[in-house]
Amino acid sequence: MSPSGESFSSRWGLVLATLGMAVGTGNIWRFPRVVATNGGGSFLVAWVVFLLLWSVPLMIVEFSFGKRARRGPVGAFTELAGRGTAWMGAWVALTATAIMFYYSVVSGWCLRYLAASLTGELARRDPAEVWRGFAGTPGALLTHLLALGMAFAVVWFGVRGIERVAKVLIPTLGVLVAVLAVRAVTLPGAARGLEFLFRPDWAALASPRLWVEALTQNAWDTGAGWGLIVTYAIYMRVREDVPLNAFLIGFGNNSVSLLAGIMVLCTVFAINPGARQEIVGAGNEGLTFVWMPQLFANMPAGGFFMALFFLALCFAALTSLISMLELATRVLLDFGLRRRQALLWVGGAGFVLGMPSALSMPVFQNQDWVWSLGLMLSGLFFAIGALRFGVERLRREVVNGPGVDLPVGRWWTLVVAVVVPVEAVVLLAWWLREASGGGLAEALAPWSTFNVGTVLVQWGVALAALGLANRWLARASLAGRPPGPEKPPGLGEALP
Amino acid sequence: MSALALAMMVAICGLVWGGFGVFLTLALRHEGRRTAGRER
Repeated sequence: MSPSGESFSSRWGLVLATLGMAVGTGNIWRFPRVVATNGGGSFLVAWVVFLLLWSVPLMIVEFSFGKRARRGPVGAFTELAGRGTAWMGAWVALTATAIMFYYSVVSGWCLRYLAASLTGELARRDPAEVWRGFAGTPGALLTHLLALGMAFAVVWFGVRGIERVAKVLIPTLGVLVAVLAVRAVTLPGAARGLEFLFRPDWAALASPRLWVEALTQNAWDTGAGWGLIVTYAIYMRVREDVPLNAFLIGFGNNSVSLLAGIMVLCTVFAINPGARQEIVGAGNEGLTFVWMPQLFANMPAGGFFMALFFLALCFAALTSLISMLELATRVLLDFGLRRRQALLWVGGAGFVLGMPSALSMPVFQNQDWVWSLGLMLSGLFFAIGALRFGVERLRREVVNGPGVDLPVGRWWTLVVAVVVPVEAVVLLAWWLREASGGGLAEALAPWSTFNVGTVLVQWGVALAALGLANRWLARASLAGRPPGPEKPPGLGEALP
Repeated sequence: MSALALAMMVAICGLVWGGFGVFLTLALRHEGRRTAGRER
């Protein structure tokens, strides 16, 4: 136990908190839509491949960075990959924090819709009208504040607060999603949804788009490469396993996605099969906040199941938001601030910088576009960080180090050193090519919501600022006292 | 539901949910051993 008592009390505390981080709205609203628009069963093949060739290997890297360095992303990169890479850790932290700003808005929408389903408002009014009257209004600002306040209250109590909340919310979330999936598959006509979800279109496997979508879904869905696992791994016990926990969390997360896919598509096909193209093409917000309430309204006991659906969505969103808030707080703790002081800064910044996304849907969509793509770069940086430390050394000393239950072989070294960087580079190159297809001038216009220009401008400003501040970041990120369990002798005392 | 879709459903769900079950069982077994070791 650390002097400050900052560590998870058990393996299950760590696993449930990390599952809470991984299982978010991406599982419930993004996965069913993406799988439905990318060939069903064929997409699932690619999705499982990338679980093993992207998500789980990167989760192992993240766990071992946090366990070894006992610092957030900036300090972990500085300590393990060298002072010249502090900016990479800062990029990882910045991307996750930028996502936090608008993710809090999304969590607020979920809270609003939970309240509307409980009061019967969604049954009385047209859900499309409710959505139009709410998204981008001061009401969304209020729910953004409420969601952020709830996550703030949990992180205020440190890792023990996070663990206690995860131990209640995550098992409940699992039960809710399972109940909804069972309800959906027992609806008349649900078999058509299963057919649509699982029938493979083998020709689609030749499409690069399917593979890119499968990789981005894995990155978004599992939280691999976000820096959030590094943050929770700081509080691991010294003799805690890394690889088995990574496999457990990766497969656990994707199990929830699969249940969500079954739940949503069976409901769509059972209630309104004629509108399926329109439903899955409505985007994440359209599917969740406009179509799902309409579908539930036409189902026996629909009001009850609608409330369960939005409750599950709230739990998924809040546990992920908590991890993002903790990451940003952890970075400031490493800089030498106290927890409550750091959290006040992060909470204040989160509210102010989330305001534009709460008040404007184009801003929200732009931020989602820019920073979710930034996760590809974050994943690449983790692979580079591991390469600089020595992937094989990381495997021997940390991954298969004290407390290991399921040692990983050299395949992991090969995947992290070669496959992950190739995947990230190919993905970014393919995305650049695709996004520039409409003409260079249009693609590079910096003020568009969705194009290459807006991404390059925002990334460029961030990367330039972090590069210029690298020396300061490296020094400042090692200023605070490392939390969590005391390091065992011989671990983490030397810079590479 | 076609036989091909059914086979895919069994394969994918078996792999993902089965994998989760296997890793959960392994973790439970290791934690059980650790707890027993501490009690001894």
